[in-house]
Amino acid sequence: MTILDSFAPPAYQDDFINGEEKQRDAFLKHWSDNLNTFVNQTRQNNPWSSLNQPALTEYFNPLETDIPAGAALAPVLWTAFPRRIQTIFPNVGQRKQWQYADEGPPNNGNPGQPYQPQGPRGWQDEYCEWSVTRDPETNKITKVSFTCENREYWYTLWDTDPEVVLRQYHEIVGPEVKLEDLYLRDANGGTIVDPETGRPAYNGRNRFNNTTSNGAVHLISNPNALSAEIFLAGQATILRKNSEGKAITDRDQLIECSRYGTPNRNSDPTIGSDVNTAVRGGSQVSLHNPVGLYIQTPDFSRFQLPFSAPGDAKPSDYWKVVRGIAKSGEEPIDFILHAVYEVPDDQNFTVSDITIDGHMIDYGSQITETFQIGLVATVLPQVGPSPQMLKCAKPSPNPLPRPYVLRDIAMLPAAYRSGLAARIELGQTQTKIALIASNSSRGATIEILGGGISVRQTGFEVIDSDTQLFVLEIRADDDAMLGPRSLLLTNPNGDHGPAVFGMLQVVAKGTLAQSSESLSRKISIDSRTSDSMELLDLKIDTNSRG
Amino acid sequence: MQKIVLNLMLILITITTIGCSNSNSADSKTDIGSDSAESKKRDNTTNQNSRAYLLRTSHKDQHPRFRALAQSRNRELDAGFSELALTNCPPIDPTKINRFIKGKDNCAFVMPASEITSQLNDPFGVSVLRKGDFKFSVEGLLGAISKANPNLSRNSFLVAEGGQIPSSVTPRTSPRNPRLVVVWGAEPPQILLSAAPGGNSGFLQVMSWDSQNNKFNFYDVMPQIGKDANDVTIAWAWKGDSTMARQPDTIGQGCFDCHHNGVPIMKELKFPWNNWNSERVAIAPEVLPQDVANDPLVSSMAGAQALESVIQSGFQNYYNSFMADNVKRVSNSNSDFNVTNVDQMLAHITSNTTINFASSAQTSDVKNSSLPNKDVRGIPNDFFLWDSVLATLLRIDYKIPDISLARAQYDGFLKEHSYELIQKDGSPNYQQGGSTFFSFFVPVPAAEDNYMATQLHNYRGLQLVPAKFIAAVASVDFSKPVFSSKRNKLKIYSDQLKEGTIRDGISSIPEDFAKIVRPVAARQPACDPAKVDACTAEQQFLAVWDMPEKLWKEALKTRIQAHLDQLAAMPAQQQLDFLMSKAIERHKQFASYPIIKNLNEFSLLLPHIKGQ
Repeated sequence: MTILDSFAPPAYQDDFINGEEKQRDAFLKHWSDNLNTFVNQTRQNNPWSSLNQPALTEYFNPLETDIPAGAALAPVLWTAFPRRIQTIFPNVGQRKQWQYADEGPPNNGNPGQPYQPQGPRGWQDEYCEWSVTRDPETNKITKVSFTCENREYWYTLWDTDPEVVLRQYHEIVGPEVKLEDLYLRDANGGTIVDPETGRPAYNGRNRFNNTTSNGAVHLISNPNALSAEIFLAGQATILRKNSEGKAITDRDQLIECSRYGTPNRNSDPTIGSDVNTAVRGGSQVSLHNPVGLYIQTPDFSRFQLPFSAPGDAKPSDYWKVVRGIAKSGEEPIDFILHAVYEVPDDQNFTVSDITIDGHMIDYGSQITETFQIGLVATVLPQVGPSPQMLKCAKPSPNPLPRPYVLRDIAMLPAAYRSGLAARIELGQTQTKIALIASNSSRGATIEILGGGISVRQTGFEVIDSDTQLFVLEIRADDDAMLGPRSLLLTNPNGDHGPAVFGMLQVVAKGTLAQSSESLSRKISIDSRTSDSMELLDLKIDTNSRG
Repeated sequence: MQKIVLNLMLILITITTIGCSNSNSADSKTDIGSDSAESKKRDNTTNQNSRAYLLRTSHKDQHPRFRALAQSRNRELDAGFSELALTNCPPIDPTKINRFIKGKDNCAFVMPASEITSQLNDPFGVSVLRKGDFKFSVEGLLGAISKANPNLSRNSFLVAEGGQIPSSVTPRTSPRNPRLVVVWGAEPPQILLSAAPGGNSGFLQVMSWDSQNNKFNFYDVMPQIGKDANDVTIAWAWKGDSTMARQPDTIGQGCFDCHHNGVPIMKELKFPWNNWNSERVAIAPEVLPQDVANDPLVSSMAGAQALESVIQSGFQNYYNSFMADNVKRVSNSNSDFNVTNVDQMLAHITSNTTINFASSAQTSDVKNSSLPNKDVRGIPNDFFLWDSVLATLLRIDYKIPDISLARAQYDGFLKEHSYELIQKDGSPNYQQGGSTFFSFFVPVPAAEDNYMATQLHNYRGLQLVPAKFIAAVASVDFSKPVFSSKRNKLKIYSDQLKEGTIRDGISSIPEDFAKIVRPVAARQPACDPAKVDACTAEQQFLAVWDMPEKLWKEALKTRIQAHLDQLAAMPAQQQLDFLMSKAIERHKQFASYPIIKNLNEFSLLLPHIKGQ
């Protein structure tokens, strides 16, 4: 029996080099804390604003649960090509579907709103995004770069050491990337500084990672969040019944009933259905460490090289795993994070001269039809009685105040994208901390549970009918308990739901590179970038359907 | 000698395959799927609760019960009750590899060593049968194959025509035709097993890739009646290879009654993989018999999306080898090639060598839809015309209308015509109102034909025929992408072409074909160029082929678009009636088309419609 010590980075990726041991240790701690927060928040489910969404009993936290040696591992796999393209545009033809997946469908009022960001990367929503490099003269493809790396990892890495992030960009994109290219900026182009670190904040949607032609380093499409993956796997552990009392087993109906994820994708319905089936079969489930999303090796037997290729060449020769590893031995799946398909310049042909299923590779998306994205679930026997089937989730007629995000107000765009919790050092005071909440009202009380943390409200704003903003000053006592802290939001009438786990991480002095509150704030409440509203979209995509 | 005693008149039979194969009935079963000789000698009449007798498709027609059933379903029956009725043949030997190739062999016989050495060089033949490791159960076979091939990955997949029929309609113990496909190895698949889930099915069908001879070998466990009908011997037999699938004496026989091209098949190859457990819709364990749900191959099964790739890889590998064998570079030349077996290549565009099925991704029953009142969209493009070739391959830029059938009207049509899924292949029989799980489930051109069209157009950068030639063929009777007798007439001409040449990049094949067609067309009554669709096959072909290179694509696009626009302009109810009637017509053609109709294995495959 084993209780996991900590969550490892996806594919056990180690981006640090000799001499960076301190950063590595800090990163690993921070990463594991993030994952623990995601898991525990998932286990809380959504009792605030939804009926039939109680705390989860069948999704376990491996940091708290004994896992017997030889516990079953269940691969969950789905096609990397965006299914929404096929379902929303079923009759445009396969060639157009390939094009839409690479370049985005035309914006002419088509049904099916793209996710943020606008443009093709928003449509690449199967936890796989890619970028296509073409020869400017012939327009033939010379390279396709695929990534399934979650953005939370990169934000965490940036929080640890931006230079390490820059080094990875140099390896993935090229030496032309400069540190300032990766800075998060406000609407006026000014650099947004993260008060936690005292450094410019990271913009995951920088110009080397926000198109399908100029690089793909990590996932940016809103639904492609690791926290979302964990959340929907968690919610899928609830067994559902229809109005006749019969078990709901159809994957899209499960999604609609449980209100997790998005139907008509490959990924969400597959993850949810596989998890739900396991629980119906008498299992508890958790995503297997290292939790992540992984590219599987393409089926190269569907590729064919031209006669002009070297006689001993194989289609797989041009596939290169850049980050992560292909499986070996007994591993259930490949743990590939980033791969490229590229024909070197010195060969007498290009990627476009290779065929898949007999068709020349005119679009990178054709390659995504030959591989899957996968994750692994750990499956344990259920403890105690089998869970009861619940009716479908639906909005509560009396929703309770629910905290969503706690982060420095200037950092809201990054907070929405990264999903990372706010951190505070012992003895530190942080001002202008934003709490985004729903179903709350002016005068609500805000408590950080566990003692040693004081909260003072300095502002309140109703953003829209569903969203409120509290501006807070938070102080951590010198002797406050370290670790994740839950936040309890109580309306003036006394209504409250459970405290939300881990919205604040209390860390030791010296953990954060810069803790002074004298840093100049680059934006105010009134100068929020449009991205801060986009965070609300993300929240709806991933968390708030229940 | 291993024997099994069966009471053939009492057993319940169902069927399945990798396209054509076995199936399963769960309530009354006879245990023939054991490797133990003792367990094989069992009187079924005393064991009503034991395992079902499971027959492969290519066996079921020989059984009296199924013969009647097959006749009622208009299956293509080969001559005589060959295997089970081979009473005049010497006994088969379960301790040896036997050979029985329908169409070639009148009796099964032990394969000569020399033939084994030359023909059976696939992993299954080499590592299992040639080692004398004869297993007659799924479990035994799984163990034998995996033990002999430890480096080959293994995946299992599940299909069941009744897999989406809920237990509220009929209990989980009722027959839903579940079949497993187990695949060892990838890129390409090395061994494929079709078997019934839920334990020790004794009816096993195996395909395995022989990389020395570039073909799939077909094997199965075949039964032979002994001195009386209750005395049956079973043995492993080689049933032929890919090269025999299209030969006159073996076409449509034995394993090739469904594997029409001698390659792995999956009728519902593409998204949303109607009938398969997939990433689109799972087959819930709750609708399967408990022993099937508990089968490790079922609980660990992968999705059809992965099998799609396996199947594509399997048949592409065969055709790639076929092309390599038949497109040979002239020595000392970089641009000159000789081409053989041209007729076999062209048959893939002048005829439907087999078919696949495609459907909308929208469920037929709105109760199964993720959203209420969802209209039916996404009629497969290949239903309207051979879009996979005309648009995807040849890039003709017409626009197929995005037709949406109003839910109320669609449901009304099903009700008016009393659509039902009816289980007739097992006991108990049952029915469920409505159509197939995914709507608009229709036969479409086969993946093999699509692939060979691409190879003719661009074989590793070499053009065997230009785009215009393929377009000229595909444009004949283009609104009938399957079962077109008019386009199929062109096969008369393509069959005459055995060889071709490519010199400096110019292929002789198109003009050779046109030279045969042209005099025939010249003898036909002239047709109105403004009404090409009413012309003969030869005239339609030449109408495109004789166009200038710069004009043909736009002209053909205009002709196709006019047809599609006419369809799009129909009033909604008329449009729905037309399309639904056309789908019914395609179903009937499928169920009656020579050889292809053998794929109509299960009564649950297609909806039954009043008066049809």
